[in-house]
Amino acid sequence: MTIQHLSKAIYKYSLVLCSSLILGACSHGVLSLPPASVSYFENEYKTGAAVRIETWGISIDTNMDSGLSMGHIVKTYFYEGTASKFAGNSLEKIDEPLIEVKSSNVSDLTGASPYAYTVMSEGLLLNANAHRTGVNLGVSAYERVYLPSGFDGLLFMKTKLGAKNPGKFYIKRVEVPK
Amino acid sequence: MKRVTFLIILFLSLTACNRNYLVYAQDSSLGVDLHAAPNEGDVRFVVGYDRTSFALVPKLEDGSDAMSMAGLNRVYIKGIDEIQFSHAFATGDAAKSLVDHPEQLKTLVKKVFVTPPALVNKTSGE
Repeated sequence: MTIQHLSKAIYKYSLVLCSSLILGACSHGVLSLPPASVSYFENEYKTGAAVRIETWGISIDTNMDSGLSMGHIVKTYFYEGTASKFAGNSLEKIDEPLIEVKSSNVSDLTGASPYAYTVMSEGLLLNANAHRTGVNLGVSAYERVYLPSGFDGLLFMKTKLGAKNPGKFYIKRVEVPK
Repeated sequence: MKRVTFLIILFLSLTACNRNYLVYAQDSSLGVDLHAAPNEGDVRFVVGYDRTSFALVPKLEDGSDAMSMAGLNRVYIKGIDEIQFSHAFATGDAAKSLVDHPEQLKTLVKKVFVTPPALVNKTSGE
């Protein structure tokens, strides 16, 4: 098979794939066929939120871990909560017990930048983003923690990849008064 | 040529480039893995099991402080399907405060390291 034939085949399948995905469903920046299962979580103090996205089949993720996947993928994105920003010392209540995030109705996280994400994938994964570019066939598990330049605060996470509950997570970020 | 351009555009449209972050990364794979390795400045091809950890630090001008950070990491791996992460990252004044107050650091260390990994998520039926 020549490169020209291969290119033609990939082109045809890409068009079929794109058409199929458009007919599928998009939720939280993930276009997938069949539709992805999306769950939202938040901790009691509202200092951390998470979105768990589970897909079976073909999916295109346009979030921070953008890419294309085929197979079973569980991605969890972690965000700051509505009470993460405050004035003062982020280590002030460091003694308070850690609490797990719980199912929540928080759904306005689309467009927000995650501070971390974890991925558990079984199948084919094609990544194309600033921090992971490549192809994986088989089982892959990875995580990324992103701290924006100038971030002043504390990020804590305790999580098990692929788990139904994202675990314990919070962010306390000092807001500098303007 | 049009097809190649279409595929390149499709691929690049998924790409988001932003280097204004401090990034901590942990990868594990079992199977065939081909990906760019920014920490090694090359491409990595693996057949079998592989695990890597690295950090990307924002590049600033000479003499300026990239980022003050105190970080604690614990990774518990049993096979490929049992991976647990525990992290605590303090930056800015919080990082400086941790250095000045060992008792706070001790509390954080306890939170990251003391809880047995097997108990994480047990309450949620995992």
